[in-house]
Amino acid sequence: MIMAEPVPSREPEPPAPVDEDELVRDARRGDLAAYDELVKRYQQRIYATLYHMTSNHEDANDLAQESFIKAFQALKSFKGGSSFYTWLYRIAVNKTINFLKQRKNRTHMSLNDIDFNAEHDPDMMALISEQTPRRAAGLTELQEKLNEALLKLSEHHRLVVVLHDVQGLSHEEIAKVMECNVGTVRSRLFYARQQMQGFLADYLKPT
Amino acid sequence: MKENENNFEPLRRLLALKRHETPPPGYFENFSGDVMARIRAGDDGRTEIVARQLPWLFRLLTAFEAKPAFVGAFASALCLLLVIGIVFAERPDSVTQSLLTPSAQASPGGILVADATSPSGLDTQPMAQPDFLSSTNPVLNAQLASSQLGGTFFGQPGPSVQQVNFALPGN
Repeated sequence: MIMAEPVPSREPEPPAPVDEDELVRDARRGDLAAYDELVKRYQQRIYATLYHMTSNHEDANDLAQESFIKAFQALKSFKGGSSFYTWLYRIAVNKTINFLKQRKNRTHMSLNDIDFNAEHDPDMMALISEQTPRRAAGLTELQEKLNEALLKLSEHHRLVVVLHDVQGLSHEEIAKVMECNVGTVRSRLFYARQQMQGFLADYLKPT
Repeated sequence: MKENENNFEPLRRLLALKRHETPPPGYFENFSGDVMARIRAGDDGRTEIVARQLPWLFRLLTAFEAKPAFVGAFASALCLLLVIGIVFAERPDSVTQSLLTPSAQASPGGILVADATSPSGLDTQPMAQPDFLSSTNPVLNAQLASSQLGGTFFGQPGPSVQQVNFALPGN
């Protein structure tokens, strides 16, 4: 009897990332595992956008969960005309804008902590040491002022600033999310930045 | 456009601070689990909407869920209210009915008056309307005037005096 040579044990290879279209197709058929994978893929970006819009962790958490639930229920109506990501963003953003309109004048900030990396970010250090020569502003104070300034903008102007300058989306992507043309996005961004510069004049020094 | 971008460079660097705001550690580890649990439970977010917009209703529903006996008490209270409502709804009807129904023995143009001097009992007889009873209320004045003429507004028979007789005990 010939004994088979022991096969050297190998580390299991990580599963190949499943195509998004396939996940969406499976989720539409009611496959919760597929939808769970989609939630995991986009949870951070959706949460971050909603958090920057509301400046409130609890509100962002509720809105993000409700957005994913609504998206799951509306999956059958998703025609695939845009990417799932854009479609999901649209649901989350519309939900948040409605929420903010209802919450008008009842703003309560509940800010997340600034991560450790910020203290080692040269840009952040420069902001504290150089850009605010008149005020000894710490990062936390700067964070509060920044969020207060953002909350002074209208919902649509805030959204453009958040999506472009914080989240890094292109004008075209923002136009798809907001269902408007690129020119509108550019003009809103310009106006919103001008307003922000006015609100944060003490903390900004032209380069 | 490029110049505009440069004008906003300090602002963009300041806005970059927002990227360093992170939720509590481990937050995203539970996030998808929470979402999937709510989907499995059939939660469509309406609960949150009710809680936010109608907090009193949400508290009531929560109390119902927590204490089933409270549901019985609430239902009993509702039934009691319903019964009381029915009883009170019927009572004014009967009173109104007796007030509005003209008596067959009514004499026109009079007011019910008791005559205490009558030896045979309490008689009532029509009392003439004195002039000093005139009111500043034009409607009341018109009613008084029409009652003196033997009628009321809209051609309806006016308030009348019903003659009643009843014997006092011992007489």
